[in-house]
Amino acid sequence: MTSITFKYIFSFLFYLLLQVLILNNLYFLGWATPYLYVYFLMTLPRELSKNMQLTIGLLMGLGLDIFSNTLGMNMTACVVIMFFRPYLLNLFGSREDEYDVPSFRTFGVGAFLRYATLMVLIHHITLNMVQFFTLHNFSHLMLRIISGSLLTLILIALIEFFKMTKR
Amino acid sequence: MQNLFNFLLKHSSWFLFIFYLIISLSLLFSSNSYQRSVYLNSSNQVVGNLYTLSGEVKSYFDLGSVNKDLSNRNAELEKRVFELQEKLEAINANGVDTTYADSLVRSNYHFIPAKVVNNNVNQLENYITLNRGRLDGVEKDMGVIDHNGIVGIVSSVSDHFCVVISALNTKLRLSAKLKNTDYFGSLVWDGISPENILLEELPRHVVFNAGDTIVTSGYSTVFPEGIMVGTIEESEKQHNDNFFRMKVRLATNFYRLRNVRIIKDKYNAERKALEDKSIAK
Repeated sequence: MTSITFKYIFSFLFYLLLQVLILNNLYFLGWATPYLYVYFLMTLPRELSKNMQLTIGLLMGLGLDIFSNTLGMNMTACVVIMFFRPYLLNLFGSREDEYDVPSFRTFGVGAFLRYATLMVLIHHITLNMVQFFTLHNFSHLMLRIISGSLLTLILIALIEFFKMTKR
Repeated sequence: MQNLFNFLLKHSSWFLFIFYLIISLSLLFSSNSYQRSVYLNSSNQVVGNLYTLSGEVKSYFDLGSVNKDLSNRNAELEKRVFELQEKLEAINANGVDTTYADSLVRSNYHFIPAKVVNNNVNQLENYITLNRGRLDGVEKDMGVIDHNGIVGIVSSVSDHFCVVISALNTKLRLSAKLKNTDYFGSLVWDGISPENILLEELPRHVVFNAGDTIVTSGYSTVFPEGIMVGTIEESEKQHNDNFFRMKVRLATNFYRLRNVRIIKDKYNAERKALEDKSIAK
């Protein structure tokens, strides 16, 4: 149990640093930035209590915000997706299946991609809405949400694909 | 009572969610949480050092272009030194006493060179972390420039680091004017392209052409007058009033920001004290 806990603490730090040190500096087409830390939050074990999931989301958001000087922004987005996560898990993973973490293997490619799409979309919509709170540039907002989500989803699908073929 | 307790326990995740959401949103919307929370931003020691490390690694990737920029700059300065020397000699030859002229043109500003350890351009509110802090003489509200033009304004300072509000921040407004005129307007970023900034509130009778230069106005103590901002790309009338809004191509390349200078106004404190004194009387 403790070794698994350590593994998750390590990957928490890994995804946090990957995001702030590398991914935040990518501006594909000038504005699209992938938010891969959503993948870490998506694939936490199912047994974790809802309160624990919310807390992990809050901490991840806080870490990101401290690094990027946007206090509260990522926190809001992370807490919101962690709130929706248990319901989405019930929606896409059939209850009878014995599974620990959501993945291509346990969910099937189609169901996992639908789950990932919803999680990423909720995250991007919340994050961008919060950022654009005072602006009314709707088309630019949509462009950011769609391009960022697509880029994140492509990365998630790639990682899952490699994980699946490795086993 | 037992029922109530059970109810609360059963739905604890809802309450926790609402509680966390309130924390996040209040952090987000409290007006100057940014300045208050010295520890919760990238000027804190741990984050600053991490960014320094990654900045050092990253700086190797664009050594080539930085080198080119610097040698261009060097050539320009050499040319200028040569020109000034010629002028000085001409004046000396004419028999004017230059020691007096020197003491009139005293330099108010002095520059603290700094390295960018972290920089963002993809948010709406972008901040830059520099590796100079209070111990190097950096204070809040100092201007930051690089060799091409303006960069931003220092917003919070720790002992060894400072965080700069980038010009690419929708919350920042700077005063700027058309070069060689006294018509000034206010610079603001629209959050779309890191290569352009908008100059707003310029009177409509001003005559200008695309390609004209925009410089800082010098009406605040942050930037001296005449620091390069960029060149006019295109202009549009604002819908409702008598002002122009124009798109300005930034001279500074925010994608590759590495070596910058923090402007320190030597007589700022003296000037402020004098102004306060005169107001008090």
